Amino acid sequence: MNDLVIQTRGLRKSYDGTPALRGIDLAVPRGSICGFVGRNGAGKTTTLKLLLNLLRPDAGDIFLFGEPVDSEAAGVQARRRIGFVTEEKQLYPFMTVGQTIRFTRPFFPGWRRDLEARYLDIFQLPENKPVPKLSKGMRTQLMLLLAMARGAELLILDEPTDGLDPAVTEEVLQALAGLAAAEGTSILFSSHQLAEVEQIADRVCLIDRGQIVIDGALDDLKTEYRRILLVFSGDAPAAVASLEGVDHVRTRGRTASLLAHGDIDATLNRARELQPESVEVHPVTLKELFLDHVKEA
Amino acid sequence: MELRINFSSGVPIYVQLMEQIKHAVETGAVRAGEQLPAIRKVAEDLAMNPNTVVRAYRELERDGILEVRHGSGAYVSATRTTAAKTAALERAGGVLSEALEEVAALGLTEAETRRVFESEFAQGRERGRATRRRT
Amino acid sequence: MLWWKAWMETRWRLVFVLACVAFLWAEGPLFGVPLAKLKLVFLFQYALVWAFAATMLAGAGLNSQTTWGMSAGYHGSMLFTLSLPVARRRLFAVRAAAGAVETCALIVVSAVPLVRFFGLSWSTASLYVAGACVCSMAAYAISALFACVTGEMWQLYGSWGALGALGLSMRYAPLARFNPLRGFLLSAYTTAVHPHVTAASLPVPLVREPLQSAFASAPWIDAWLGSALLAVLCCFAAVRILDRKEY
Repeated sequence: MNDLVIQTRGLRKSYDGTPALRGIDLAVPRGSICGFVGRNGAGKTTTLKLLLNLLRPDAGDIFLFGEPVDSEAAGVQARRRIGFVTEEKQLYPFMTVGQTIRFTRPFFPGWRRDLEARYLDIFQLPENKPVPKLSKGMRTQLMLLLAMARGAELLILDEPTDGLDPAVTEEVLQALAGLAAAEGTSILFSSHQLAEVEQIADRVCLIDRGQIVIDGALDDLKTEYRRILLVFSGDAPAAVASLEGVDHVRTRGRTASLLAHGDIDATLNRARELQPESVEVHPVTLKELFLDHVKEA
Repeated sequence: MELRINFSSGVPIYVQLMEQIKHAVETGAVRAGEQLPAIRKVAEDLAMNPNTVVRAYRELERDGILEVRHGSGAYVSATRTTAAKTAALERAGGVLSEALEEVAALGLTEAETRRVFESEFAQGRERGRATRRRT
Repeated sequence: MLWWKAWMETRWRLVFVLACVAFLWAEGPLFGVPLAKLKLVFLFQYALVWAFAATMLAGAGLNSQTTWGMSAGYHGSMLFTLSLPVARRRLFAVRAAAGAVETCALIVVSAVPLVRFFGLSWSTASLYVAGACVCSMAAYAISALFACVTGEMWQLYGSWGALGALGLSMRYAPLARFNPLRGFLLSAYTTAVHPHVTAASLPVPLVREPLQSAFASAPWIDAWLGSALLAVLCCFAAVRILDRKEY
């Protein structure tokens, strides 16, 4: 088994009888930045919480840093090496920024004072400001500082740029990229901003209705998928819908839009056999991949 | 060196980065023997994945455009001759400007022209790849 | 650092209870209340301390909260706490212990006037303190158990309801014998009020009956044992619940 910093096998979780996760097999290699995307309610936060032992799985195994996480003690060991940013980004309302940092520091023997000072400066966080007076952006930045300065090998971030303005977002992404470059930190982050995922992630994992539908290196996905646009002289033939090598088809009158996967040339030849008037091949963006994979009934 | 990456483009990011660095070398924006910015700096400034930068630098080294000196960083190779490439670029500019005049005469807009170009380019890449696979 | 956090979380509530107790004290010099009646104040003061043991506990179920706000469910910072590399049981134990120490400290402080102003001997006063602490821990544990299961609001209602039920159960002699409330009343009444005030002279009938049964012939120690047992049982239940709790 190669060096996977996160691995899950057959992870299942239901809430009150409603299945939230139906068998998740996640594999995040060490040193990668993996974007975890999906619609609201698809299971992203549930998966992240399971990794941190905030929830218990109904079935399945979780491995962090190659070790199974199946007991409270194992969970504590793993959490020593992980930095977490929660969805709601809530910290203690009875502390200031400085107090929160001083509270968190002793839990991590590998705490990096240099990184703490660096991020305090970059994010311009006022030390004596009480946490409830912080804006959402600053709360997020404080949580990120706490996660990044602890010298963690793995960061698990739940929507780290949610609700942030573009300037702050760029600061956050730069800090994450810099940390990954300097320390080799692995990062798993969920996001609704596909553009950001394309920017900083080298792997993408798309979850839809409790199952993983795409999981791979972003560069590979861009090479393996193509959009083929066909225009016919008459209505698009029904055969278009059942072409081999096509993940998704959308026909409208005389045009057919195909999401092709794998051996694109073979699929192109098969498409040409249907005698279209014109054939166009285009690259596919992450947004298109996302929408095509989640819209299917 | 100005680097502008289109993260949503179909072109893999490491390829874009490679092209831009090559372009900078060929137009003289970075000279032979000059040091390129560190991988960490590029990743941080552009807020992009460091592994991608690593890959781009590695491929450029494999192509002979960069030299990676252990412990000190990446330098532009002194062995690359830029004269031939610059001439080729000038020639390509000429060919394309003639083609664009012809296409403009057909009455296409700039956007339409770009679409046809992208499509032909993508197909050409597919054909080239298919040819390479068969041989 | 967990102790420091627990202190930061509960300090204003502690101050609030101290202020209430101090106000009751000030009734003497402020409103010229006679000494005997002042001693009666203690009965209610101790009940106040007892009830507020429940308030200070609100975080024992690992439900961090705002200084005064009563929230439903748990505060978001709970997830941050749980993501720290500390075992859940330890997080609970420190928070619960801190609140317990604060409650007992309050009781000790409120006993000081007994010696200074009512000439009680130190040994009697310390007997009172010991008894009151043990019985308070029963109330504290009940409150902690509620905190594990519900949000702040229902935790308070639930614990006060439970204390009320304990009070009502005093009417039945077998239940009264081991009742923490009896142990508490015995401590307060015997050391602070007796012999200046008798049960019969108390104005409120609801208080009279329990006090009368409090003086039934069963020994004090039974009430203390009952309290200790109740506290231990609640702790066990709380730990079991917390182990399984999902956030």
